Amino acid sequence: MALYEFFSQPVERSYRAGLCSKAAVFLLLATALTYIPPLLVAFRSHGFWLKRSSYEEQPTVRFQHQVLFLALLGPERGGFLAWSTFPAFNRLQGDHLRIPLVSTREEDRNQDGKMDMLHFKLELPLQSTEHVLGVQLILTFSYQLHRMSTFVMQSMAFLQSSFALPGSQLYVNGDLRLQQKQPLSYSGLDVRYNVSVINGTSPFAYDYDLTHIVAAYQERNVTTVLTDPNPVWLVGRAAEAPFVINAVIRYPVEVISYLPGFWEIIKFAWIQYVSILLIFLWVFERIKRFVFQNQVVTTIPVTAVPQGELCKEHLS
Amino acid sequence: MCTSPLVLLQVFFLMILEGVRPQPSPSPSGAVSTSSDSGPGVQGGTLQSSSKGPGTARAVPGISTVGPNFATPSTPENKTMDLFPALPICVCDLTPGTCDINCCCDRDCYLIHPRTVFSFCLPGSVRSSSWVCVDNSLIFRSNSPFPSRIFTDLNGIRQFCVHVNNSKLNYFQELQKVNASNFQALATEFGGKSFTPTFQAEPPPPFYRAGDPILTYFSEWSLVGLLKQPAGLGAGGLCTESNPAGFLESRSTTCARFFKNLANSCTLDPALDAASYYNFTVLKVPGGMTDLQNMKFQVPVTPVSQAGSPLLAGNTCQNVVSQVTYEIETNGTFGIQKVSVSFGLANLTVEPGASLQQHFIIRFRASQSTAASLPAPRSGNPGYIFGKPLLALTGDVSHSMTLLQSQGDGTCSVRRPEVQFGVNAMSGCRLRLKKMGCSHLQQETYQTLHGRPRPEHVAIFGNADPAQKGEWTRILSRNCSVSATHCVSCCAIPVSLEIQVLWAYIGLQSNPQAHVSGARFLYQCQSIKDSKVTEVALTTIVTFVDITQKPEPPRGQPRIDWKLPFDFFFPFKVAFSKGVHSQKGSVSPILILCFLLLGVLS
Repeated sequence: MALYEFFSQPVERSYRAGLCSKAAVFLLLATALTYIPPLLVAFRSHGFWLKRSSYEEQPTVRFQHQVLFLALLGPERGGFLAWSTFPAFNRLQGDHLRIPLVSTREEDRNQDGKMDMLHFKLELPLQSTEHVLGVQLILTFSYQLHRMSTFVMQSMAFLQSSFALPGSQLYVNGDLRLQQKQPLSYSGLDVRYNVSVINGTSPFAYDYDLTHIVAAYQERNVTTVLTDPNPVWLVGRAAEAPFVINAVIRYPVEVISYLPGFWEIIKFAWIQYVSILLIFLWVFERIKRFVFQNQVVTTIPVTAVPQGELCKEHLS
Repeated sequence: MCTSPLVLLQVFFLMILEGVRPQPSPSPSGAVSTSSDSGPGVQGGTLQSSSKGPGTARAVPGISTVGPNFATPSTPENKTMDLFPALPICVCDLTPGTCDINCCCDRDCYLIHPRTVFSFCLPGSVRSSSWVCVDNSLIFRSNSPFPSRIFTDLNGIRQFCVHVNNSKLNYFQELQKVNASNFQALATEFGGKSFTPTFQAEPPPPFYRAGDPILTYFSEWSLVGLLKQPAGLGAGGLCTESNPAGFLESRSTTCARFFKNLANSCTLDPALDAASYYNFTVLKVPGGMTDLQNMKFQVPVTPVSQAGSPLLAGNTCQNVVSQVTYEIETNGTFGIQKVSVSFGLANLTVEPGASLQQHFIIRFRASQSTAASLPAPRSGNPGYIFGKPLLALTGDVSHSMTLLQSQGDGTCSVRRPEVQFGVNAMSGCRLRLKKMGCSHLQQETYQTLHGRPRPEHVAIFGNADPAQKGEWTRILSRNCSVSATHCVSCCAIPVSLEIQVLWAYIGLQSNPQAHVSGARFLYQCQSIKDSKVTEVALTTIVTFVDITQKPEPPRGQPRIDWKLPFDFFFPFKVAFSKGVHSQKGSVSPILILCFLLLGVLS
């Protein structure tokens, strides 16, 4: 009757030697060589500590219904028209104030609760002698990120466009992109930039100066910028027609870089270390087995007594 | 038994060593040594058109594959083999009768060894061939059937080289014969898009289809044309005359015209003359083109009201067409039944750089429809559509809600834009106050703010019927409370109106319908001394607020609820969501998971 192997079990054999023997020194050396070089290999091949990571999120953006608008008129010098949603700014303008018709709509295309785009239209009534050669427009947004750290910011989209010919319409279709000069934190609440872009309560002209607004805004480490490579100027305005700004501003999904937390750093380091360590463990296991089996270092081999027999002896 | 691990170990270390070594290393650690770093005569490196350079060669140790560019070809054997035989095609011989520099195959040079004169040979001027070389000291005898030679490179190292047969280098494909029969077939088989226009004339279809241009006939000149709807084109926004109107496509266009000399063009420009918009007939069906004399196929364009031709009176050009409205009755495949046109006229002041904005409106309606006049279009059916006008009701008359607007000089304009559903808006203007009593003043400002007539109700849905009062909701309106002031001659007039509209989605979640839940007019007043102030700034703000509360979907079908945070089961979630339609797809991740678990447990 043929026999088949149904179960197998390794038999342990131990090698004994003194504490100050060659075998002890060898074992110490082998252990050190097993565990330390993987760390060095992992560290010296770079990227051991995860210093920066990134994630994707569509920000929660809402248009704050704050508008600051300047239209530069030509061909005479110094002509301009201005309007904003800030009463103090409008008071400062005097004769240059011209109230446009502004209509806005934010749209949630995919019904996920986050707005996807803003339709903005501004119709500036003009006299037949007035010709718009350039516009400057600031729209403010509240910008929030929630996935890693809760990041709340008030940001702006600055649009400046001009053309050599008097325009009748400016069409802009672009994205409101996030610009990071430094990574965000991995958790916590970040309200560093939850301050209004334009100080609407101030009565002073300085606070509404575009250079001042832009300079203060660019001091921030995290900003938004309106990217539209090709704003379209349409020229040829009939005498009674208004100047129109037609803007579609999309809120795209952003890739946000952040500083990983402690456990994330440790996790990735651990993965790298252990994967290299496994190879070293296997190699040194073989070396040790070779050394002890062939008595390269002097030891006394002892075959371990099976556990069951030991127990029996104790019982009897 | 005990040696096998060591062998494995060795192999393993070798693997590591091989892996660590940079890949394009030209001198492997093999026993065969050679100076293949530079190759025999890389200095004449421009001749490498035929071969792989040593940098890219991942060759057998000690063998480098290089071109036949040898610096000093020394031939120890007495075979006087011509290294550079004259080529049948000499691509660099560009000046006939003259020796081209560095062109080694130019017969005008009369050089037996051109390389002695030229610094290098231009690519293509020598026969391309590939040689594989090893150090000469390694070879005792060559049994190779290929031609072999021994070269000495610049370093004085003798190299034994074998000319390998590289079929890729001297390979030509025979050209196909092209004749009249297969020309078109070849052109379509291998050709792509080109500038050839894909325009072909078709016979006129028996009837108009939606979007087809409408044919017209000028009996005066026996000309067939298209019904035009001038539209703004390009950056200029100027009117392009030849924009055709599409059958059944009701639309309106606006464009601008500029006049260099209005005094001339006032009477001469046909675009300003109303008659030019109806002095033709419209073909009932395109098939009428075959029989243009048959009046059965022709529909005259009838002006609704008499419009005179432009007239230059002093410094103004009168009766200039500023708006053209075509009303076209259609009857399915029987084509156009009736065309009427009405005009809006304006007067233009003659001045340099005068301009005019023209509106062109074309409306189609089925002749079967009983309504004599076009009913006001719906703003949605039933739910409101974003951007459509918000419907208001005053008495029994339905109209759209409007807001004020300023004109060029900043004063309030007579034209009032519509309040569009879902669109927040803000506008303002200056109102000149006339000397009148306080109550009159209040009345005028109120009217400027809310428009005329004053909206009393707002439609709940976009298809509200004025006769059905249940489909309208009352606008909550509150005039500003006149607080008792100590000032006697003061007058409280409203300066701003905020129209607040609460709306929500209703109905099926898959097809939600927007409806207006309520609307409110909010006035803010300012008390002025009626004798002092001559101008007030009025503003109107429109705010739409979405008050939809999305319910949890009902518990009809069981679904997997992933409660763990941070996308804990992300890969499985993706696999499951993809495998909804194909059950096979969702099996594999489970299997993989099972195997993983088994592996971990054992």
